[in-house]
Amino acid sequence: MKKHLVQALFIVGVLSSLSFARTVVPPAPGNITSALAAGTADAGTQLVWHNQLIAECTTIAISFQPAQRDSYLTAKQKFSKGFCYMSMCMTRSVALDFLAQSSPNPANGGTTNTTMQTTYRNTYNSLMAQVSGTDCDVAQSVTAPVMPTSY
Amino acid sequence: MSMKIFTLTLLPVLSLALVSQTGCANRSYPSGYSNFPNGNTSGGAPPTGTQSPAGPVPTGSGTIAGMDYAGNGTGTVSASTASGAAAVAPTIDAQAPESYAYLPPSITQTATALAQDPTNAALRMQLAGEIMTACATDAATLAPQPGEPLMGDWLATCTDTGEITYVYVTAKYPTQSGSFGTGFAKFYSAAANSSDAGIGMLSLNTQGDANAYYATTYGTYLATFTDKPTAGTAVAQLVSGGSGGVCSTVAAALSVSRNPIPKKHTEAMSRLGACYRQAMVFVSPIIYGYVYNLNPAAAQSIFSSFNYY
Repeated sequence: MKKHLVQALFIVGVLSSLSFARTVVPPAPGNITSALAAGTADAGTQLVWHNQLIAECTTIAISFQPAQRDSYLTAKQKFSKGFCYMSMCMTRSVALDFLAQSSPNPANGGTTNTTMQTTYRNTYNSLMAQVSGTDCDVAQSVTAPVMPTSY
Repeated sequence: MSMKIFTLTLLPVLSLALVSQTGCANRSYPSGYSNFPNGNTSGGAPPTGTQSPAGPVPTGSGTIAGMDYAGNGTGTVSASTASGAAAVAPTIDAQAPESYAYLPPSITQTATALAQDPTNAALRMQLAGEIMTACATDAATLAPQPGEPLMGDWLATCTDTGEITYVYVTAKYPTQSGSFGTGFAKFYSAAANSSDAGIGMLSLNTQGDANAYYATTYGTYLATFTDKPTAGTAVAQLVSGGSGGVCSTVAAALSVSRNPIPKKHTEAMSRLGACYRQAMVFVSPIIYGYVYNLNPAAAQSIFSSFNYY
């Protein structure tokens, strides 16, 4: 009995350690989101962050480049994957802007209106949920356009 | 006063710059930026108190560079290793991508309207949306096209010294649903005598089968796809005339690939990135106000930074 339990625990451990490849735009580093939420990042800094984010996304999307001998269907899937990734990056960038607007510091894009803070924060959470829930490896294989249910 | 200067100078010039771009490589922004008039860098009131923001504070972590993704750009077109074909290392000779105009006239109208009413948030967001839509539409024109992976020179060598009455190429393409067109395959002799060159009709049926042939003499032949058969696998064959020709089953390999897809992919993603960074200036009220308040040289520098490809 004890042996079976050990085996079961071992199998569960192995399975939980497996990581499945997903192409998902990751969240921004914690120090950036914290600064935006607190309103301590000024406009110039925010501009740099947005530029850096999208520039890095572009580099990654380019890395999906098809090989010279890839078939048409494979190339098409990789193109769609890059398109999806760039779109999610833009969505994340917009989400981060809403996060900055939800801060209590109007000097850095925030607002003192608590109702609006809540609205902006909810928008941020909604957009980030969409970003983290979109696997571009899967999204690119969907042929029929599907509108997000949150809209 | 300076608001008026901005309204009358910066936005019209910017809008003209946006619309006049006929190719991304030639993108440029005007140098005539004016200072934003009111000296306000945020467009909002100064912070008051230490009010906590509503909702959960995000705690996300990680970096883009740390992500992993499936697909590493490997793979082959099976035609290159078709039975009987020599394994010829392809020479990559992809042509430079074309330039495309990508900003529609509607952006001019919105940009002009925003120039007349620069604090109009609705117009600002409309302009951002139009830029993003235009960029996506433009990038979509760089999507892979059927047949592009087959573009290049297909080499088949016949060692038979006998006469070859014609050369033909057959191909069967796994396709998505859709129509099939016709194209041309150009055949020419690899020998010094180029007078054997000719054009053969390439036809595709609804099952994705294709064939092309060209009546010729003998020698080593290249079959060059110059149009867009739907992509997949292909086998080229030299067929000898008469009966029992030893070249009857010689397969061909793609010796020089002119597949433009990889370069087009890079171009498309670069355009999207540049456009999205540009659009963010109009999406974000704080960044929009920030750029407005920059001195002309700094503003010029920022907008020029979008032209990195």
